[in-house]
Amino acid sequence: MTSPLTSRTVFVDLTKKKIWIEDTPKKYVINYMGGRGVNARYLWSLVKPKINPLSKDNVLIFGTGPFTGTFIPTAGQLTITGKSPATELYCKSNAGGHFASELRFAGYSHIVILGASSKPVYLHIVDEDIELRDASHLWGKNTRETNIAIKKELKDKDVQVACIGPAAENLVRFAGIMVSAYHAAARGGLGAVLGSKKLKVIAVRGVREIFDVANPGRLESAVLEALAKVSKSVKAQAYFKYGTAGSIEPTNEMGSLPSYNFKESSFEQAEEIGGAKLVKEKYIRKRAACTACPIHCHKYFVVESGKYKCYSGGPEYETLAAFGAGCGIENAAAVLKMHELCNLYGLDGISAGAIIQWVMECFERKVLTKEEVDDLDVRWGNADVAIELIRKMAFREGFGNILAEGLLRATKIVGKDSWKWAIQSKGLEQSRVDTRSAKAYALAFAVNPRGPDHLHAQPMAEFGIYPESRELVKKLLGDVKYANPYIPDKKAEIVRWHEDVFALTEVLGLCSFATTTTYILAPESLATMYYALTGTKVSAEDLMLVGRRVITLERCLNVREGLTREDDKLPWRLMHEPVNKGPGKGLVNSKEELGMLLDQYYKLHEWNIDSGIPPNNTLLKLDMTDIASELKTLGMI
Amino acid sequence: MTKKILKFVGGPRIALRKKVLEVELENNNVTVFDFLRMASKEACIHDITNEVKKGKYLVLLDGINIFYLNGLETLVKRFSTITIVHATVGG
Repeated sequence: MTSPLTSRTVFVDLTKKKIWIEDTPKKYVINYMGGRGVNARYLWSLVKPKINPLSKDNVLIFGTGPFTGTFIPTAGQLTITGKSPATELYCKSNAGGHFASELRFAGYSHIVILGASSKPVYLHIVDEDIELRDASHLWGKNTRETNIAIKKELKDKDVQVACIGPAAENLVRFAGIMVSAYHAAARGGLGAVLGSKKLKVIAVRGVREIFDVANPGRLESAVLEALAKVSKSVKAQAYFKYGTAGSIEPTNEMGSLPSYNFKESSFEQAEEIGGAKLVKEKYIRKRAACTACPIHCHKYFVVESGKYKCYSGGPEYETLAAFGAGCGIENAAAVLKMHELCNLYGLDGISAGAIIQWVMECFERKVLTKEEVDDLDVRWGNADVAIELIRKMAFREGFGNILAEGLLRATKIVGKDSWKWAIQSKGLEQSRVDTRSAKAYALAFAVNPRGPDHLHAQPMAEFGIYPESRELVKKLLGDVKYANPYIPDKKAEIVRWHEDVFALTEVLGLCSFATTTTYILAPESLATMYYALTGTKVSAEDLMLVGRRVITLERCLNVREGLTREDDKLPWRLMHEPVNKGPGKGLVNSKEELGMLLDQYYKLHEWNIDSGIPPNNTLLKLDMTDIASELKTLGMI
Repeated sequence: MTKKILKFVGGPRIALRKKVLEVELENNNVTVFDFLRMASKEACIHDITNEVKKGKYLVLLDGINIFYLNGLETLVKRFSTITIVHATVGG
């Protein structure tokens, strides 16, 4: 039996076909604990700045945390880290499923993939037996075919698989990695990094690791207490019933559902694609859980007949919003088909949806002609054409080859002011949150190291929807009035708390649905569990500090790539075109307002207000001497 | 008499089998709490104020969450549409 704090890393050098195991450096574990934190620290050491993300010089790290593999609620999350082909900056992407716990059962906390193979290979891990095998026969297969083929080949139906589809093989800059079949680590295009390394699959099976829990009785009571909170949480119940698909209807009613490429903030037919309808019409058939998760937000859907016949895992709010409201498509079956195709090809549905909307607007504005888009009638609401565009992007066919480069690069090719309605920043297509009427989200998206995306801070408390979120705002800021997304006051404090806790969540190997989304597990509960599990006493503040350190390291990784305050911005449309109707009418993310939010945020972090760079003193205070010293050598601080 | 639109969306619409109700108010000076009790009675549905208190249902006044105003004590006076929707936000 080993301690949950034992951290061992599998190194795989694809160029030299060499595999070895090392204890994760102690100083990494002490400062960054595990998961996302240790991943980022590995990236700092192993990747030089300014490298091409699609070259053999990039590194991909798969990380679990000290809670992974235990029965602590939601302890089944995997974080994958590398340099993004979309943004050419730091990127982490996260997925649920059962891969992370299986890796821990095999005895490892991290996998580091170095170099690149000259031909397709897959990595097979069964406890101590680790080998690279030929994957030529898998290359070209979609993710479903790959899962089936690998399980058959290994004669192991329970082997956990992380794989890429054709989009990543074709180096599409927003290709993802599919984990445990239907869980997508898709943001930032890390699938394309695996594609560039010709690593099609990582299959893992672990049967030996049993944790030596320091205080089993104490851990059991802490877990039971957490489970009781889950069963009482109305939000967890809603996630069980609808999944994130259930967010469509309330978001729409609040006038915050971006539609028609963020030209509108609500969609008249939203209920047609919302979670309640999908459940009622029996598109959503089955609920499933990731390892140790009592919430069961994951769903399986089926469209039984018709031209959109399909099945897959999901759908999520983001893809329903992107392909449905965003493209003006009200046919639920068609939207589900688009979601299925993204899963099969291994594409990020958020980015794919954002790109299709942009093409539709270009077409409407006559910036793109029918001939330029392969003779397709790319008007709003045309589901069949949207489906065809997904295929073209995945296979880089015709106009799809331009789109496969992502929005930022596509606008440079298309020109004619098309960048103004490209909803991206830092090179990443924005998640489906209208930040004009959600000021904490606006700040969180602007400072997110991987681009404008909801999975870095997720400052849900600003909406003040749940009693728990209102209580949190009152506790943090002394007055519940700040739980209001329309006002910019005190949003830096709200963002920083959520950033710290979100980072901590992914450091420990948990899912944010237990922390920053439902507020079921507070940092105090996490500290209790950590003590019971490891025997090491920590306070909630100690844990929050680990989160803060990770946020700061991620910032430093981007600073090393040349990022400054100027890069912390939002898409042009959201900074210049106010919301045109509904409760948020007139709201915009003006340069002045965002500037004020950034000032407050940098000040809280003790970063340089003019440059947005963490200075030497701040890094030393956080025990990040090694990082400070390297940034000094590079002349950056 | 003043007419208010009471709209059920998503989960509440399916659970309560109601989409839109027109509610006539003799006295416009009522709170959301009173309005919901009154409307529940009129529509022959169970009292939904508890669901709102627990956070299961969200009440929007012309799209604005009542908790940005005065919660259940907010007067419905200056609003025309009261929406009840299941409370799930986040992706």
